[in-house]
Amino acid sequence: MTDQEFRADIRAFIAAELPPEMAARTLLGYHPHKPDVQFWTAKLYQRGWSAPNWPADYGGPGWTISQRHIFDEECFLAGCPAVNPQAFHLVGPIIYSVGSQAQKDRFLPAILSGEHFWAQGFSEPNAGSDLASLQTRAVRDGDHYVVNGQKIWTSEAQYCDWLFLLARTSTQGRPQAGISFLLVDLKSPGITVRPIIGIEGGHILNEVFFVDVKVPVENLIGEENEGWTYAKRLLGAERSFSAEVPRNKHLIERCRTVASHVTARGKPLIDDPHFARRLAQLEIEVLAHEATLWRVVAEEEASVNATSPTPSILKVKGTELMQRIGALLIEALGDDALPAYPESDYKLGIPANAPGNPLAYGVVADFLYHRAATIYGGSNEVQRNIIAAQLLRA
Amino acid sequence: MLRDGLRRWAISRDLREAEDFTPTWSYGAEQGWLMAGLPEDIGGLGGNAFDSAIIAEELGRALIRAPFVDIAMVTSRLLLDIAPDRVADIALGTARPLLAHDEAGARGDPDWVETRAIRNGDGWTLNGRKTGIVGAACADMLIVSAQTDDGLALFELEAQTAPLTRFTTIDDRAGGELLLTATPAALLASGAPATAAVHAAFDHALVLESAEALGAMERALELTRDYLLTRKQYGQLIGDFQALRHRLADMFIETEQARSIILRGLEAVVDAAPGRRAALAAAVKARVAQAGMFVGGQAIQLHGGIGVTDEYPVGHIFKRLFVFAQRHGGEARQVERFAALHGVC
Repeated sequence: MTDQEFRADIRAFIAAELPPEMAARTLLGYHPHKPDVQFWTAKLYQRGWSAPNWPADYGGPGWTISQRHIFDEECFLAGCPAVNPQAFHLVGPIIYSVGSQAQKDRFLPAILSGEHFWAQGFSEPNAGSDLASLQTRAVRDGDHYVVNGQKIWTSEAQYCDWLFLLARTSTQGRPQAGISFLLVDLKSPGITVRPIIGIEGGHILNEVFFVDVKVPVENLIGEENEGWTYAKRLLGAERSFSAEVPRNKHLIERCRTVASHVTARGKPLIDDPHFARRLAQLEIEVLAHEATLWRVVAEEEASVNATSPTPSILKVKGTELMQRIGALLIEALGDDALPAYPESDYKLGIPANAPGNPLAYGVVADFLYHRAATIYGGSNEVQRNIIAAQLLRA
Repeated sequence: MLRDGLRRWAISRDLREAEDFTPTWSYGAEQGWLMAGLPEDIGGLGGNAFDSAIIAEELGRALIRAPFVDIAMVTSRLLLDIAPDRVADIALGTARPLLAHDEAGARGDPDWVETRAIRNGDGWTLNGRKTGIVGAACADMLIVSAQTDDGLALFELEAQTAPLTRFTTIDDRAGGELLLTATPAALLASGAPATAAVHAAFDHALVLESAEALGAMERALELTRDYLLTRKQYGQLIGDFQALRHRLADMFIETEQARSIILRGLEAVVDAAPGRRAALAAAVKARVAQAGMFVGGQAIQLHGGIGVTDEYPVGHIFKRLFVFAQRHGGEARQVERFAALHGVC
């Protein structure tokens, strides 16, 4: 199948199955609406497409890395709700590559179908960029671990079913050496989830507190004290997907749409050469960024040059571009970008007497939330250190 | 002295919350914030825009939401030229008129007004949309610019009965927009005096809002400095990492560039001819918006995760700087305006 045929298949499926109002809601840019994510994950699951990144043996469609990028782009641009990322991109691959047969049988089907949502318990208040300094403890007591501690920045924990956790099981040796990887039922007694409201006014982040939480020993992934190795493998894999090329393309298009519908001193903004030039400049940067992505994909598919720092380039450029395009989009909206358009009022409907311009709904919330993009997933300072360390290696 | 008193008053304020408007406004009136930049003969303290800028900067440091700048420094400036008898009540805190001049299509051009005024018997009616009215819910009167067959004119509308759609701005201020459809309004000024007053008020808005933003930048810089001196990762203070030290230095450089150009802008609004004043005001807005987005953005970046939460002040400062940077056409439009008005420097 050619890439064009593949793309056409994806498009036809989306056109047939994705309700237009769900697409419109998703494209506004507010945080995911769980019922939409469940609905769309179930649709993808029926088609066998819910886990493009998983091997065919575990329920993946058996696509190439290129095909997965095409799929991601078509889904993003069409407004498909994204599947629960922690389940499909983080814990799922850990379970099928390191988990026991019993763990695979128990957890993978409910991820694939969208029944179970997962949250990630890695960061702690004093363990951010320096993750290995984490302090949450898991103490073995018979056939359970007893977990005490605190996790932070736990996306979507308020509506997840399970959480995967890095906890300290030993204080011997290097900080990295005594960490274990546990699967925790979020309904377990002793767990408290506290919302963290973001600067965009939405709720996706949480703090999760653990007080004497009992986790059955069968929920340990792999070997005790080896959790860091598994987590590192996880964070190192699939780095080409941090490029955010679809989001950047979407923002360019959104910017062009707004600029075509608003005026500046009596003329469409898009006809203003100063504005058009700046949009074009960003679009050229997106082109170069996308071309870099396809080089990395080719390397990944050929399994060569695995130590190249180019994946860190993708994270740095992808996130910094989205912030700059977002800023131009807001500039295009002008005064109509000033109202807050809060998620609670605008995501599932429009209030009576809404001010401003419907093209602005969600734009600033999305921009403000993505101020975090240069911080999360390994801050851009850490990414630049990785690039420099590889360049300067003797 | 004014600065010290204001800073002491604001020092314990929670930057995350909007203050109570009514007691804050009364306090500001008692302290002279409303009259500092106004001439003595109409009830002011005889100062000028430099005095106003000190107050604006301190209010910005404290992220005060009330529209002191918009009403007492911009609208009062407008009224000084066309209806000076109205200004004494602003100075005393008993009147709160607010200029509603910007429009979505104007993009920072003070001469671009699409709102139309039509003579209707003895009075006038207005049609058009006025946007970005920050502080709208705090005003008792709105002063609206509109085109007539004889050029720009200014009208007034009771805020209570005006067709005002209220909203909370991104930075938690009381914003609004006017949707005027055959809305009756009283004529306040017309002809060359109205145009000249709008120009002067617009230039004051660019410079004094910049002074307010400077205060917010200073606060962001201080919070970030303190954070670099307390947060540890990898067993050391993050302020020991050279990349972050350089970033902090750049934030300082940008803040000082902003302070410097604001001083130039203040000189211009105090005594430059209108053309030079307009060019310098545009330059101030462009440069301070550029600096503000950098300082605010990097303050979040250097704070890491807590920087993007509603629970920590620095994100609120970023949003204040963001709204400042967007208003009146933003940086790019004021750069273009400066280019068109060139020849001052």
